[in-house]
Amino acid sequence: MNTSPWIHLFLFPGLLFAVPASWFYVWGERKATARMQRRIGPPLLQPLYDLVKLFGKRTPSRHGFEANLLRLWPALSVLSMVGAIAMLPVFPGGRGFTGDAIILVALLEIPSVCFILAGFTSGSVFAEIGAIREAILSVACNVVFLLSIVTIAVSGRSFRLADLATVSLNPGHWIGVFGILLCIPAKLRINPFSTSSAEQEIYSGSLTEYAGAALAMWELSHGLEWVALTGFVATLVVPASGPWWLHAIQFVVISFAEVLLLTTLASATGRFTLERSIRFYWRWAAILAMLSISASIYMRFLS
Amino acid sequence: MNIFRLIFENLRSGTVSYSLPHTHDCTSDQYRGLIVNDPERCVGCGQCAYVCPSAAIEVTRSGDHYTWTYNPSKCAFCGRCIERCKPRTLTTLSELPPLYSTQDELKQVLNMVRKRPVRPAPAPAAGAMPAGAGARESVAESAKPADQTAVGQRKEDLK
Repeated sequence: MNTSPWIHLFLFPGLLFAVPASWFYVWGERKATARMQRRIGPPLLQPLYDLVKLFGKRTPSRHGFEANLLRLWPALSVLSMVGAIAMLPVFPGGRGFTGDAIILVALLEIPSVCFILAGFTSGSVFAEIGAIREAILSVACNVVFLLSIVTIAVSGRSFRLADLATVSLNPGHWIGVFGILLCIPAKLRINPFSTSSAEQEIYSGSLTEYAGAALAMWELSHGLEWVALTGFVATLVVPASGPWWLHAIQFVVISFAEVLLLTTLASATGRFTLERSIRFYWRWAAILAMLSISASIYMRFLS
Repeated sequence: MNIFRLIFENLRSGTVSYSLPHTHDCTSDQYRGLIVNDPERCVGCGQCAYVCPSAAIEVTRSGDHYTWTYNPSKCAFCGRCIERCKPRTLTTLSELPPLYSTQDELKQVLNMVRKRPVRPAPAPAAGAMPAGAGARESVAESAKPADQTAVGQRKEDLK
């Protein structure tokens, strides 16, 4: 099904879908966490209320180049996430282009880079600590993330997202998906890899100095990160066939199931220290990723 | 894996917390809500503004008029103004304040004519004063500037 890029960008899975979906996923995460802790949890529209409240707040005014930079980072993060979501091959037989998986990986990394830059721009000690932690964790988890994507690409013999979305029975494909799932908690900064945004230790890290509309943009960006990352995995595990509406429903259901899975993981684990997080990614996950990519290359030569 | 068993048990056994109250009848009698000023009794002494720790109350005077301003968005609801108010003109509402979105939304501004506190004249001792002297003293007392009267009150308080 060849659909216009404008539909992808503005309708589905773009802005019109992604923004309400981000609220819904964030609500799902908060509600599920609350129920696991025997609390009632927020009402369905709470993420929307929070966003409206933040946009309506008056904040201490900053002036100069630094203030513009602080406003730029969350906006850039939101834009990159909208672009990443629009690239997801949610419709069967989507067009895409060769190498669009690399663009998607780059877009998915921009919020992390913006988070780091925001920390150093704000000048707060806590924000700088959060930025340093995010930078180190990003390097650690991205090794596994990139290796997993390369594994899937080698298995699918393509770097085109529409080809990768064609689910194969190749074990390399599924090991790659597992590797991406392992990296999502670090990319979303949730437990056990929430050390860069630890509220109780460093007051949300890079977001310490943020308030009002700029913080609302960060919240929106975080919600869109949920949509993009879970949606990316959903496109890799949902068979790209059948009518488009069935595929769209499968996309949403699988994404939300991932949200619940990640929430359960976050609720069941405490926050890892930075050293432990790095050890996990570079010792265990990286070994798994290296083995899987080696196996995929070997099987490709055999075939 | 005990944690997953615990999570499953929590999900199965339901919530233990209560839903947030959506009504305004959940306060006790001693709840300190918004401050209300009675303009009929207020004398404009400014003691409430003097003791307010968060500068939520301001009193500005110009001639015989004064403006009493109360900004609930700054108020700490400590109740010191009510304690200090001698004419007992300040009271507190025992209900939750309404929700507001801007800082000055609930601001109260009262423009009033300054009144001097009238004190009961001391009873003249029999034969000690000529007739009408007590009344003259009473008039003189009430004609004092309000600041002096406030100082007198403070002295009485200290005694």
